[in-house]
Amino acid sequence: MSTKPKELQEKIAALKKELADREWASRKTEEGIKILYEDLEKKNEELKELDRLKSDFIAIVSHELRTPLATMKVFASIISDEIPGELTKDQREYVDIIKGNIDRLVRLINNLLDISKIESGKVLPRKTLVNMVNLANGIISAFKPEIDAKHIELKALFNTPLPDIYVDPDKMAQVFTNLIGNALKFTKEYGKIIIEIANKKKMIECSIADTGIGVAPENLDKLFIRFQQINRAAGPGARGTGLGLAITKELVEMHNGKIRVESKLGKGSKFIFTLPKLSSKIVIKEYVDNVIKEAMGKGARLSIIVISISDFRRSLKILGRKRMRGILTDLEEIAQKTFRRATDTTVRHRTEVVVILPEAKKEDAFAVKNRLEEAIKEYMEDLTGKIRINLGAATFPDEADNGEVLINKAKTQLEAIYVGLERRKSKTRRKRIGIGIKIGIPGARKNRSSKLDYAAIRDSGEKGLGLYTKDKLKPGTKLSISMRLPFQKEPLKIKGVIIWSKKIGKNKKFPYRTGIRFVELSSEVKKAIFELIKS
Amino acid sequence: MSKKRILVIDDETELVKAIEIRLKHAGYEVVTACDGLSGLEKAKSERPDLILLDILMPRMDGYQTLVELKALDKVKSIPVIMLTAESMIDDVSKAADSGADDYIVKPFSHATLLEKIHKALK
Repeated sequence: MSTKPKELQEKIAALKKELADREWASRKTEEGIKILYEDLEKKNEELKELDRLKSDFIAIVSHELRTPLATMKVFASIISDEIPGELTKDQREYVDIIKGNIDRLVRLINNLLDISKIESGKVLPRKTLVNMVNLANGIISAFKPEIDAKHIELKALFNTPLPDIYVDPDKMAQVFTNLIGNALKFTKEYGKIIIEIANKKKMIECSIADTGIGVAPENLDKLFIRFQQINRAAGPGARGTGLGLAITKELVEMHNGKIRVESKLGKGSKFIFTLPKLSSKIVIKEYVDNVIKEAMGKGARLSIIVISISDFRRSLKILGRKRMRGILTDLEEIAQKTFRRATDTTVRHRTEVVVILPEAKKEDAFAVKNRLEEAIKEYMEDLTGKIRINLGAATFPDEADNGEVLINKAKTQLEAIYVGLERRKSKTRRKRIGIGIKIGIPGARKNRSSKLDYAAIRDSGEKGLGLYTKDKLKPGTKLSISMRLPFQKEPLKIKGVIIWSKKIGKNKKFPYRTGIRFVELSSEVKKAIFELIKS
Repeated sequence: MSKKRILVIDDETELVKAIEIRLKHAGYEVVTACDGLSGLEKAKSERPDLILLDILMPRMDGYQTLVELKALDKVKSIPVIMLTAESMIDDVSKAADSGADDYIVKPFSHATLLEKIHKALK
């Protein structure tokens, strides 16, 4: 079908117009988006400003209310301790009343400021792995004098072992303090308080039960509301602010937990709160994120090492669930033993252990990784073939700037730990080929290297060598290896480092077995060795 | 053994007076300053054994003063306890992270004050 030139021209003109229209429309959209964006930015700035004002307000109110109270409290104690002079009986009584009311005001202001901060979102939990049993026991001991004074029987029923959960320890401490304090307040002398912590499937459940005055059914749902004071007993010490439970509820809920109460008037009350056990994957990521945030704040570095079991299912089939769990626990313990500092920690997930090294540069992490390898290899002696363990390291901020990326980076750098036994095949082959290897240890004397006395190469692989040596060699010693390969003209110069050296004792002349890891292999050398092993 | 000297830096003159009476009664020598700048001067000239430093002060606040104190050669080894009006729920770690040796939350009991001073002086 032929189109006349005029029709063609019209068609082109129409297309051109459409194109121009669309360009115009897209430009308008772009402008529109730009305006919206600017508007959003402005709103964002306003919100930030408002937030800052809120923080300033709370800080200033906090200071303005607390400072005069601080002054009054110190002077009241000065008078009470008779520093300016002796007090009459009446004066003493009045000063005691002043002191008591100052403390009451302090508690009220503390609670008001707490709830105000929580409600304006200024309180963010600083989560870390916490042992709730230890935490609870700490709070219980703090209350001991009061418990004993009232002759109350306190029972702690803790379901051990309890996994550590990921919570803010200070806030959890405050929850326990509030609830135990309440139980004490509303329970008469010679009463009973039972504290339980139970490990449930997806959460842990804590409860504080007392044999106190209880709560009437119609008041049960008012308990957690602010300023509702139920059952205000007369007399000093029993007065509260009506905010304690409201704050406790907020603290539990900010951890995605729930709190409820069961009570019978005249018999007693039981406060129960649950805290979810987060999946360890989220925990690890959040945990690493938090540690990174801290590192960022200090402008410091942070490294992580991931120890993972590859082919987990295969190993699971061979070794069974119990053994696998045992291995993971052991790996975590091994990691903990290679810590350089008190601040290093480990977090465990199903198939891996993440070692977190605050303030570790890349070199530090590398050093720890080597030590870990050595330790794990020793541990793995009888497991080879049944399990494959990999180690990978990554450093913040060099390689990633958030937890997820850092962990992934470490995982992409996972290297199977050289086990040696798997590469045994090359031993016999090498005998046929005949490699000459000279290994020198850079000595103290200038440019003199002493030859490493070794008998035979037990095995070798892409990563290193295993030798039978005469002496026990110090891990970390640097070596220079000169390897003459049959199809190479020049001997390969390789640097190595001693990883481990153990007495095997089988050979009397060369009773030690030493593992050497190649360091900084250039790609050509790697290729050459690989070719060698393959052949 | 000579008395230990404590420098109190706080703009609340009445609170400072109360703390002074308390500490003198407990056997300490006390010098005071009412703001960050004069606090730095006194720290240099008096060489106290311990510094009590308030956070919210006009012109130069406690954190700034702390930074300056830790930058002065002869003064940086003196232990510093910050006086803060932050409550338990709050992130008091800021005081801890800033390089202070300890912190006391206002209002405080004299027992807490003396205990923390004793601990920091060891």
